[in-house]
Amino acid sequence: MQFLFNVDNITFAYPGEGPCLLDVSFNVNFGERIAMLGANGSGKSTLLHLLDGLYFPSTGSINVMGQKLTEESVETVPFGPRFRKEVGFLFQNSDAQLFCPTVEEELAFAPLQISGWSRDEIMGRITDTLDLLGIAHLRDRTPQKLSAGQKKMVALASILVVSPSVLLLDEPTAGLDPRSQSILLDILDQLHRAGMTLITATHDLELLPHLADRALVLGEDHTLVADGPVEPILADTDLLLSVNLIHAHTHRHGDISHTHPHYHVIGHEHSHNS
Amino acid sequence: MDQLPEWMLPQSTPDQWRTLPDGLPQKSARPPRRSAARSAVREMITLVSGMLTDDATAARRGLLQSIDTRFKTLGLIGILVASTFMHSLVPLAICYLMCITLAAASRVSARRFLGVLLVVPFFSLVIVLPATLNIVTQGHPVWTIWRTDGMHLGPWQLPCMLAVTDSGLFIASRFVLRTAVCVSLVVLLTSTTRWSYLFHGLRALGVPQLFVAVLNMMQRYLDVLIRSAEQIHLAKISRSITSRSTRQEQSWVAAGIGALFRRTYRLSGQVYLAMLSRGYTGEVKLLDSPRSHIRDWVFLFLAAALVALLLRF
Ligand SMILES: Nc1ncnc2c1ncn2[C@@H]1O[C@H](COP(=O)(O)OP(=O)(O)OP(=O)(O)O)[C@@H](O)[C@H]1O
Ligand SMILES: [Mg+2]
Repeated sequence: MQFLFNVDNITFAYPGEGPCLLDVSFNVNFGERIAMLGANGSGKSTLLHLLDGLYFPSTGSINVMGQKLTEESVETVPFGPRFRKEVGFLFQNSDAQLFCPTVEEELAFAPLQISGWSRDEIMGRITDTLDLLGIAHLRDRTPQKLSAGQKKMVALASILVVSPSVLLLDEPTAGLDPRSQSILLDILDQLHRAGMTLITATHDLELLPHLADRALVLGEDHTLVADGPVEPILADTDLLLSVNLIHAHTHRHGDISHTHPHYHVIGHEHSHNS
Repeated sequence: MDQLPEWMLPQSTPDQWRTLPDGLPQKSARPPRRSAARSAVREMITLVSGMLTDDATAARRGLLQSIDTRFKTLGLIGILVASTFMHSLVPLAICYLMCITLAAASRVSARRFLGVLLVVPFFSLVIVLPATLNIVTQGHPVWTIWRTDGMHLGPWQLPCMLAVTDSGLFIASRFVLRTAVCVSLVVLLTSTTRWSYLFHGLRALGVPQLFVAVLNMMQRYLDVLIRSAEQIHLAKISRSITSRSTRQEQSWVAAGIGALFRRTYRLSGQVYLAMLSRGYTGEVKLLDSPRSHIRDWVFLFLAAALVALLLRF
């Protein structure tokens, strides 16, 4: 059985900076749903850039379907076009991701490169995608002038329109209103059941069980500190505290003062046995 | 909840990864050409954005860092202006050696110092290359490229040879050396000084407030511009499936530049609003007010002495 991604002992540093990923190794199978967890600055977004073949590791290697990801290999045929079509990447900052004058052109950018698709087919896909995400009314607007949440939905649409089979999502739910969030979760769920591989970087521990079955945890020292099923990792408060994903919270109820770990910032209920 | 459209469901099976995506006939999927220009551009982006945003060199302990900004600006700009009046090679070469020494003493990274120095004089060399030829600059030929032996081209009599002349070489090397000196002085000044101090220094030297405020916004604007350009480039690669025709590529570049300016304009507008909201009035304010020491006067004196000496050549 071949792995979709085989990440072997990679290290990465931005030019002139210290390492931002250290000795990271893991495998991803077809159809898996994986969450990438870690405090701010632990390297989640960077790792997603590496998986998308935008940056390349300084040491170690990333193999995609047995093919090593290098600056050269993503420019060879047939691997390059296949890789770029099958792997979709939602950037953390959607502002950075949109570069066309209108939403419609934004969605047409990738499909236009597939010469076998007719204009009607492309237009049909654009309409379907916009309808599905509930943003049909934005079709003629300029992406740069949309609200932050609207930009995120447009960026997602511009990726889904070429029917990728792997999605790399960087904080997909951040900044979305409840309606858009539930549209997104529903779509991801349906795609996953149809065989899509999902790799999501997130801080939203409450949504985590809806987004992933397996979790990778990056520590603040930029190494991979845990890799396993979501439930035990969520239950492992020592681990989550040690990577600063949750915080110890001290407070008083009447005479009782106590400390317990938290992953919501405000509003919580718990019982006292003392 | 809506059903996904049939086409959106992931279709590829592991075996298909060895083939092109459907709808992409073999002949239309040309392997993308690798371009040296692209990595050169990336290298330059790193250099320039490093210069624009990185205050790390300014925070190091080094010679130039210890000089008060006002004195440093006056001294280095003074040498820069003087270097444009130097007409022989020796004083220029001395200036250049002095720049290298200052860079080393101020712990400016060799990567930044030499990087900029290699790029800029290279381009200026390309520009002045024709000036070395006898058809542009009269002089004694030192290297003959082509003898025409008085050939005629239609009604025109060609010069009897094409050669590199000594005075041509002299003009070209002076130009390259002078560019190198000017560029290194600017690199030295900007990389050993925090931006806010640099702007403050300019104000202290009597540069009008409006002018400094514009420079200040320009530095922030350029920084936003370069970051955006880098991100748009990545976003585009991420969604590019095949390499496209040169014509498509060109029209994309035009559209990309449009998007870049729309975005930078908006972002830098926001940066300005953020500055206003935190009380910016156009005047540069510093954490600790600069005070001059003996060493600042010594530096200025040495710079003035150097200029006076070199201008006598
Ligand atoms: N373009 C860049 N140039 C230099 N350093 C960078 C760049 N982008 C990120 N870094 C650094 O790399 C480290 C990891 O950043 P990254 O964006 O991958 O973190 P993250 O886990 O995604 O954080 P967050 O939860 O805030 O999104 C950080 O220390 C950051 O300062
Ligand atoms: Mg991130």
